[in-house]
Amino acid sequence: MEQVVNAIVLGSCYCLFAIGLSLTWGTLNVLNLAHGAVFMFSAFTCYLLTQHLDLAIPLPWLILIAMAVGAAMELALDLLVFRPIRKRSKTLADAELSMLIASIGAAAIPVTIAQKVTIDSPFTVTAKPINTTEYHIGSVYITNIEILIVVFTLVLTVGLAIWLQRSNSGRALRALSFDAETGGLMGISQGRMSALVLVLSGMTAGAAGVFLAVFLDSLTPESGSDLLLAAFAAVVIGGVGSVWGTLIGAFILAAGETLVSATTSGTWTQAVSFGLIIVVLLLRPSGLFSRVNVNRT
Amino acid sequence: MNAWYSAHVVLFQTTAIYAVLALSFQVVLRSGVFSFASVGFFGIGAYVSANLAKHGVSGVLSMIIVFVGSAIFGYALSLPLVRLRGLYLGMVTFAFDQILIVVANNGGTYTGGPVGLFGIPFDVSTLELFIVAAICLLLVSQLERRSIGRSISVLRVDEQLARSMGVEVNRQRNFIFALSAALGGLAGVLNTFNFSTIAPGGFGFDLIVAGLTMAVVGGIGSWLGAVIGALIVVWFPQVFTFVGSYKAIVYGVLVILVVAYEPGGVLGLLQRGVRAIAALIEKRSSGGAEVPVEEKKVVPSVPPPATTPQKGVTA
Repeated sequence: MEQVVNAIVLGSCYCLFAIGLSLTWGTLNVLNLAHGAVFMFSAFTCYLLTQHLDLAIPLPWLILIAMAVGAAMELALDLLVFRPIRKRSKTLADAELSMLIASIGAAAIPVTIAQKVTIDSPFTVTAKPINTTEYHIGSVYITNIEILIVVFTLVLTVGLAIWLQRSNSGRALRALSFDAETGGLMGISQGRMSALVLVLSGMTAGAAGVFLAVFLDSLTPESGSDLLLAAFAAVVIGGVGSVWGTLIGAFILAAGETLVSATTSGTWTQAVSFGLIIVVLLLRPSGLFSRVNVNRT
Repeated sequence: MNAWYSAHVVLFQTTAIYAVLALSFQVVLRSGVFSFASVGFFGIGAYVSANLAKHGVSGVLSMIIVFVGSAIFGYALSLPLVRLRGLYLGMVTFAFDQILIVVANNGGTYTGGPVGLFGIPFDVSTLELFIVAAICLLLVSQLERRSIGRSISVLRVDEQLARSMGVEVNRQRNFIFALSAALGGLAGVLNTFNFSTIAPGGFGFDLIVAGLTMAVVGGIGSWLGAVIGALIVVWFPQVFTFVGSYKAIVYGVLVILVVAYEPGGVLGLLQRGVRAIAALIEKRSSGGAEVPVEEKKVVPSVPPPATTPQKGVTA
């Protein structure tokens, strides 16, 4: 039972992180490999504040700070990197490749800074005052932080899904992802939409950073690229651009990983993501829960 | 061999190894295949050759074994992957690199776990390094000539067009993927025999950044770009010592700047410079005044491999 709780909490963190990746890929055709670095750096900022400066910051504020840092980083990424590339690229494929490469270049910057400061060692985020309460439900122990992670993720996911389905800007975004040119003719500003999506994805990555740092107790400067692998799996299982799919994909992955780490020594957990990616891509490239079956090359 | 050379011989060796790795990146990017698998094959080559060395296989022989083996493995891998396009392929190959690190960490005595393998005999001379690098450069440069070169270039610019011109798109993608794998594996072998050690950290995210920097900053249009890129990545921290261990930041910024503003890379910049000077000289000799401003505006809009793809398109 303890493992089930773990899997649900882990799945929530994966989902929070993967949703940003899925949205930027599905709507903007950007595979943002800097997403992992944003996630890591948001948590890293909280680490600096709580451990280096020794500030007493309660958890809700840490989450807000991390979300702000993540949003600022992804916004900068959009304005300084993706926008100029989109403006200058001749074809969609050209833009995709350029943005993919540039996002790796961008990821190198925060990763290097974190490596330098931590001297390549793991870091942790501790909120002060620590008020962890444990609840017993039958034979299951669950902390208030774990409940917070799961509830936060579910609320955010449902909120995002409703926003995409119902609101005007959500509809505009879907239109844009379907056909950017026609969307533009309908008066949708691609630049503004792109900034919006990246800010959203930065916020979720930041929250995921703090949550995972608290839940796992330690992150490394390279955690971002490890988590990218998990997010790829979640996104691919769920189908690129699908919010619900990402949620389900994240839980499937977390369940699989928990199962593997419970039955083996635990160092092979990442192989689960890779296996899932390969199997899903080869059998059903559009994902298990994809909404539209449009072949975007 | 003077003192300066012997003090910097490691840098020369690294340049040769990196040039091969840069070629591995460059061939796939040039043909518009989004693959980061080069780094994974670098790791495979490094570990396989280290294990071969344990059994007394000589350096040259293991180079050949890994080159051929990687090519076959790369080709086999490309058969299912050829259906994947664009970002999906980028993602899978990135995941491939990540998973190999997991394998290396769990490989027991074959990989030495997180510590890696060390004490592998030095089995390649600097001269041999340069000969191997030169052979690879020659091989790749031949692929940029004649009809095969043009059909590869057109893959990146317009796949539909390539198909309609009778280019076997899938077969060529598979071939490019296999070649890239072979070059990546070879770079790994050279690395092992030159530095006598390999660890999982040796082919992680940092190497992807370095490899991309070389291929992209140098210029993905031509093999010459890979050489320029390797020279930049290896010698830049040496010349500008103040960047120190922050060099990855500089690489990152360079990659972004090049991708966003000068897709042709340093090579493209040089080519443009040469053309501008040639135009200037022509103007001078014919008594004209200045280089027209329009020309500056027109040239960068041409896709990076400025000469080859155009030939391919109009052919």
